[in-house]
Amino acid sequence: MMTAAVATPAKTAIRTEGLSVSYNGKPALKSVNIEFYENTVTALIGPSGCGKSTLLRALNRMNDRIPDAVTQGKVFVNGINIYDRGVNLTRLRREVGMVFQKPNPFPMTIFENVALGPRLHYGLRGRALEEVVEDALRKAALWDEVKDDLKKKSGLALSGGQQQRLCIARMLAVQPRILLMDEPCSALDPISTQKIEELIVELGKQYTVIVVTHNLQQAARISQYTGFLMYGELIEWGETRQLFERPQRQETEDYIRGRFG
Amino acid sequence: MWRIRLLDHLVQAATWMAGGLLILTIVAVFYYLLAESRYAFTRKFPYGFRIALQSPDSEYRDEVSMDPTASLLATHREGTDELDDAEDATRLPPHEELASMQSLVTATAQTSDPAQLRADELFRDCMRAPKTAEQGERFLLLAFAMPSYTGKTMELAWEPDVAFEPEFAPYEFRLRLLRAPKGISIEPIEINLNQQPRGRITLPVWKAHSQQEWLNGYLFELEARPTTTTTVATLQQFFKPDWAPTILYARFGMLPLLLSTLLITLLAITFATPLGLAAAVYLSEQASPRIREWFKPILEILAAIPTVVLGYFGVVLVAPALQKLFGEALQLTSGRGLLATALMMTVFILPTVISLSEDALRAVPNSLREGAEALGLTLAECVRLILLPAAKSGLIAAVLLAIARVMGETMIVWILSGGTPVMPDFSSPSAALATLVKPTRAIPDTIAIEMGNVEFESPHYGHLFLLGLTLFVLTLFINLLGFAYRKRAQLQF
Amino acid sequence: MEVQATYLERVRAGEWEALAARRDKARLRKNALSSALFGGVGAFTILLVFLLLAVIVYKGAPTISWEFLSQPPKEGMSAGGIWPMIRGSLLLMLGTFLLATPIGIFGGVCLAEYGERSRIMRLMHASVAALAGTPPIVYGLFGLAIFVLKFKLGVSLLSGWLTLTLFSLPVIVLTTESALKTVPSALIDGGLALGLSRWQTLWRIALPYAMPGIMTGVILSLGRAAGEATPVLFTASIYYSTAQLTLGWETLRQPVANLPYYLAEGYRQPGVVPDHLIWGACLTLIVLVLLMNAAAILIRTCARRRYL
Repeated sequence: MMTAAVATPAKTAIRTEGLSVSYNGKPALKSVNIEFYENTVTALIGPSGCGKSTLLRALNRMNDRIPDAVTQGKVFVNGINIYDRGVNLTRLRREVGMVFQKPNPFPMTIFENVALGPRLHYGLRGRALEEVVEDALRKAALWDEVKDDLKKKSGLALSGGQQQRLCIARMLAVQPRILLMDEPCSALDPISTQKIEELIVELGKQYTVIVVTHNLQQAARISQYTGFLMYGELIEWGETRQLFERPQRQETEDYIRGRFG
Repeated sequence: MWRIRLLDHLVQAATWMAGGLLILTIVAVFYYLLAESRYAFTRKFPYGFRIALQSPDSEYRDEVSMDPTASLLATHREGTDELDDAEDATRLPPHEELASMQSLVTATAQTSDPAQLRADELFRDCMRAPKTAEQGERFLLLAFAMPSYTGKTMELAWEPDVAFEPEFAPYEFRLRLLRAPKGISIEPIEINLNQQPRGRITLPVWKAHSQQEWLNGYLFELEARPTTTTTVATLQQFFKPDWAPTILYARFGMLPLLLSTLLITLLAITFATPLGLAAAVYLSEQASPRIREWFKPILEILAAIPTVVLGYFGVVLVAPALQKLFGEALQLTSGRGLLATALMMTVFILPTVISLSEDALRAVPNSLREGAEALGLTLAECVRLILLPAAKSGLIAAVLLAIARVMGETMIVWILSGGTPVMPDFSSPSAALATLVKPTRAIPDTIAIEMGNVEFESPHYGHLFLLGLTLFVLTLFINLLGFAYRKRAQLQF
Repeated sequence: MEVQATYLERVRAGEWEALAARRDKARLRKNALSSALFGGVGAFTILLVFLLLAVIVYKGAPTISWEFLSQPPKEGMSAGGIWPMIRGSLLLMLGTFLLATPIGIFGGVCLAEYGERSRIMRLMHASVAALAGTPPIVYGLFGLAIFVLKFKLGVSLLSGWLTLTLFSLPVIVLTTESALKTVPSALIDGGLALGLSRWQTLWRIALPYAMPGIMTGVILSLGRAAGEATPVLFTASIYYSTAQLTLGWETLRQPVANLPYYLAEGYRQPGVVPDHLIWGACLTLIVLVLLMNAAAILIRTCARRRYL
């Protein structure tokens, strides 16, 4: 059993100030203030529809894709408000990587999947590119499984768990500092889930990792910090152990004790 | 209960019948086009040479014509069997046959005065009798000079009749000297007229002093030897580069029509694909839902404009512009031609390309777009590297469907092509420009225009069906290919 | 990591962003450029439509009058109206609608219900796809060979109906099939759970649900058929007609004048019909076709409101 050690609070990687998001006029996130620390894993939990995915997507402006989404408030990534005018989105996404609920490898070879980002962002080619790809695949614990048919096999031909790790490798190859993971294990079988969890713990030592999950045990296993959301509000956040053992708010306790959700 | 069951069965039967009708239709279309094409194979292959005996210093030097003082007599024999293995000696016709030529000459030329005999006309009339390819033919020619002839030598000159081109007849033509007059020694003469369709040979003068002596003159034989069967010949002719179905020596070579159709299609698709793809990308990736909701019906309006009307637009908008641009350089009388047609075809096919490409792009799951965006790809990079490759099958299907529709579109070419069948020529830049801008004629408009004036069940009628069959088979192939690609696109995600 | 990649060692953490920043400007510029290009082409397409419509209205509108729409041509087609052509087009459309709609819907049901399980169904799918892309001129030739000559119907309204029916059938079949595929399977399951037979479910539940989609397809394909001169070129058309409103059984065996053919022939025989009449006829034809489209769009919009 892995236990996530609670590190002393490090530097803040992301801080939100009064972050609110509404879809079509319906509020999905109400004035959230939260901080995410460097080199730690933070889990976001809450009943479905509570806005945890919305919060995650607000951190790298993925909500811009949704036509009727309106975002208010501020999100500071490394001290810069990403909702300011003139923010370079490409740079933001370089800084903040994201993995989705359902693995979404591109319909191309494994190598191309991973190489796409560094090639476009950094103009890498040849040997350098191959090294970056290998490094990313190793960090995603996929290298040993795919090194033989890296340039032959399509990313879509991998199993579900491998696909998700490929997506993680694809994200790591762009060299982000912050990793967003939107229920990365919900579409996977238990063994794959365990592998990804181990991976998240490992990544948490070098990266700022934010994981959305609906699985409380998972949150307890892998995170040092946890935020609990309900009805679009951040009810409570803090160190994982404290939140699970001595919740400050009644709603949190009810949720953790399994009274609803 | 039984009533419900009966109704069930009835509905089921009707369903199957309707489905069966669809398969039946395609089989029937193929069958009936093929069946009516059979009239193409009843065609005859006429031919004609003009041959004359003339003085070397005749004023008619530049063209084969008759010289009143030299005469040729001719007769012809039908049938091929005796032509095949005949020795030179046995080729000599019996005396009675030669003797009968006198009466034949007078009968055909309708003159009793040999001095006024128009040898060239005689020949042309003799030879253009239509034949199937299997029938061969053999002519005998007697050449002699009148006593009044003053030249030192005489010349046998020949050329194909006006509008007759030997390569369009499935025969091997040979002109050979069977016998020289007594007292004249001359090398054997045998000329292949396919290789040498026009020319002249010099003969020593030999004069006939009486009508009886005519028969002792130079005896030539013109042989039309069949090279193939009518079916093969018809098909061979069909792929030759000349379409002139209504002239005396009718030619049914559809190559210029086919090439023009392909060229128009190529141009229109080259214009429409990038435009359509760009608009589709805009529509599916950039436009807000509100704009999209407006765009779609407008696109449908464009798709609904009847092609006849599009043709008229071409006449009013495109042709005058082209004439202004190229009119002086190429002496155009109007701007109608290949380019004008291709431009209006682009307008015609654009809505189809846009909406099918948009469908193909929309079929790519959103998760790929999100993945690309989260990776920091710009929209342009996402489109180029992720969406277009992912939607490839669907896009290919869209283009193939567009190709098939452009190939078969009739009214636009009818109105804008200019109606002159010409072989495309890309040998030089100026020729290429002329090919592109000048009038042309494609397959569909040829069928549409000529079917109005054709005699039913004639070879020409059959050839129009053969053209339709060609078009059908081509588009069928392309459509099935497009169908396969669409299937692949559906299975992909 | 046991193996340290040499390149990664060389590039210290801070250098990544510098490397990327150098490329960002060009990438963003490229993106803006191509976005503008895509939007520009989209705008161009819309402009094109309005340009075409403007030309036709500008040229055709002065001719349109009640007399033009209701009178037959006069003085060797150089004056008068185009009523016989409008009437012919409407007649052709009506008959095609009555013939093609039921057959097309049954065909679409066949395709949707039996899927692609057997070889014959795959063949059927391929046939429909091929027929949908077969050029109208081929339908015209086929109609000439089979209806006009083989069945001895002659160049007549009846031949025109049959040819146009075959021409518009594949599109109706395909739209019916795709409309039926959008019926939620929960609805079908619900019907079956109520004890309805398979065909009752189809008849009572699936078809009514899909009907707006089907009717849209039917109307669009009829609009296409109405504007297409080629299938009726050899099968149903005459150029000169002064026929008034005489309808009877013999009308079926007689050729009809129609708008697209009038325009096509009017072009081929220049000088017979004056330009203003041609443009008036163009406008009339477009209005006729666009009215059908408007009906289709209306049906679609209403249906969307009803179900969503």
